[in-house]
Amino acid sequence: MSAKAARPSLFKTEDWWAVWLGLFVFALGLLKLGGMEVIGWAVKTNMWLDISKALSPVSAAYKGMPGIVSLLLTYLFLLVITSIGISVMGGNVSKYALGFTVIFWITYVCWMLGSYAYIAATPDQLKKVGIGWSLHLTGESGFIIALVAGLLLGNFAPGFTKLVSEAVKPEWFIKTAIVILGATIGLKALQSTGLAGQVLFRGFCAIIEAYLIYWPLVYLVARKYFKFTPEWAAPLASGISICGVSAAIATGGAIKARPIVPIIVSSLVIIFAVIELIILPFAAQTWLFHEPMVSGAWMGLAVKTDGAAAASGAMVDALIRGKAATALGVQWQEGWMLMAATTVKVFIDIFIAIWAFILSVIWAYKIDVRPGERVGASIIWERFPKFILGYAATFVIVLLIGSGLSKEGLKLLNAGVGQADAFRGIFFCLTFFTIGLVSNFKKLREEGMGRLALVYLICLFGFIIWIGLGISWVFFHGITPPPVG
Amino acid sequence: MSTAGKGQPQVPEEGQWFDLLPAEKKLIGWSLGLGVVLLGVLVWMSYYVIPIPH
Repeated sequence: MSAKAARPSLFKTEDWWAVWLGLFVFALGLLKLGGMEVIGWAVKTNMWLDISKALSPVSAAYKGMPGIVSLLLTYLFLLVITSIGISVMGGNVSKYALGFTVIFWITYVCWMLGSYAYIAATPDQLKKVGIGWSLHLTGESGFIIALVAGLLLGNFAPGFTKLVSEAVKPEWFIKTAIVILGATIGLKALQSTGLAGQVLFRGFCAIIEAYLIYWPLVYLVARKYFKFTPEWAAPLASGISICGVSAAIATGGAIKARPIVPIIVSSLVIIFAVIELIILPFAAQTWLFHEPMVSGAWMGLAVKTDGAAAASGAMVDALIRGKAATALGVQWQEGWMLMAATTVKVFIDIFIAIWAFILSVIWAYKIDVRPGERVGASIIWERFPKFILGYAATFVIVLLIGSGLSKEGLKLLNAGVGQADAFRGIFFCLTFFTIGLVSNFKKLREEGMGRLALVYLICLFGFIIWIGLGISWVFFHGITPPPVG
Repeated sequence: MSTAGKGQPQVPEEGQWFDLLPAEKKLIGWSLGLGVVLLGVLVWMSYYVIPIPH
């Protein structure tokens, strides 16, 4: 047996390397608790009008560091840690380094463009930024710009794709991002424990809806009426009904779908989330201004990415408070509608790992099994997406550490997780650029991308947002934020 | 595992469609049924066990 073949699988697959990289970045962030600023230099992209202010280090301790130096350090750090992974997995490091370098810098330019104030600022931010209008797309528009850039290069410059192909690893990037995401969700859950029991209870209700009602409905529509195989229908159902990208990737891993399947679904998720973000907050302002908490919860249930859900929560908060002040003559406190949106979204996120486990068991024993074949318990472990373990680990570690900390300690934990989260954003953006690179328009059309988009459209606007509105109404109607003063 | 590194990017290829398996029907049925029942229970709880001061 060769040395390469004898290498334990713990260091052999992208799935496990996503866990190691995610945990490593997370651990470095946690050192903040001991007063060490190990990754405080990581770059953060700010909303900008003056491009010289677009970049800055994520930690105030590095305030004097120019943004471009911060970006350069971030690039070098990511290049080194991912190259180690490539090397151990047996890849071509020099080809990877070349490809990663090109991909990283293009991706980052896309992200910076997406943070341009006239593109990104939401209505509640316009005054603060000092502009009169914007496209209201939030900083997440950088993901879409990266996706479009990747699609253009992937379809019209095949030579470019070939040049960087060793580093085109959307699945690896997104899994690493999801491991780091566990810490961010853990932190949000920790902060939620201080909220009123009623809101927590209603957050739990959101899980019932997203997992037990939305999921089977979308799965049924995709399988029965649009003739998709389970391999496509399950990630699609998770992407539309649970929490977009993370859920689609986790489901794809759980049912052993080909890597490209959840990746394609993810690109639909991010595009539709932006469409929702543009429509739903204004619809809520027009028809639901007298039900502020229903509106907030509705955003959390209907808008399918964390960022877009939080942004739509912030938008309804600003839009409805403004309208209520003139139409109802009442000034509500800021932040309550946003809190409702983020609370239901956090509860939905928490259970992704459990749902992935349930699906991996069902698929192993009931759906992928051949007639007469006996399935051992080990097959569950074999099929289970390992990066979900990393996601669960960071989530639980943050909860355990955070529950024993003082207020001051929690501030440090918040800052440390925030530093790690800076890398999550970069991995997300790298994912969307590389998704674009591997997506061939012609083939996608031939293989049913149009049908996928149609299922998404029909399910989302046909029943998901309406059931979400109904549930939000049942649990939150009549509740209003406390008045100012 | 990787979608890259093999020169040409992969594209999705669907397998042959087949009708819903009994296991899938059970998954859909149980999930929906449980969801609707729990929703009813939670609505009841929200009004009578953990009411919000309207």
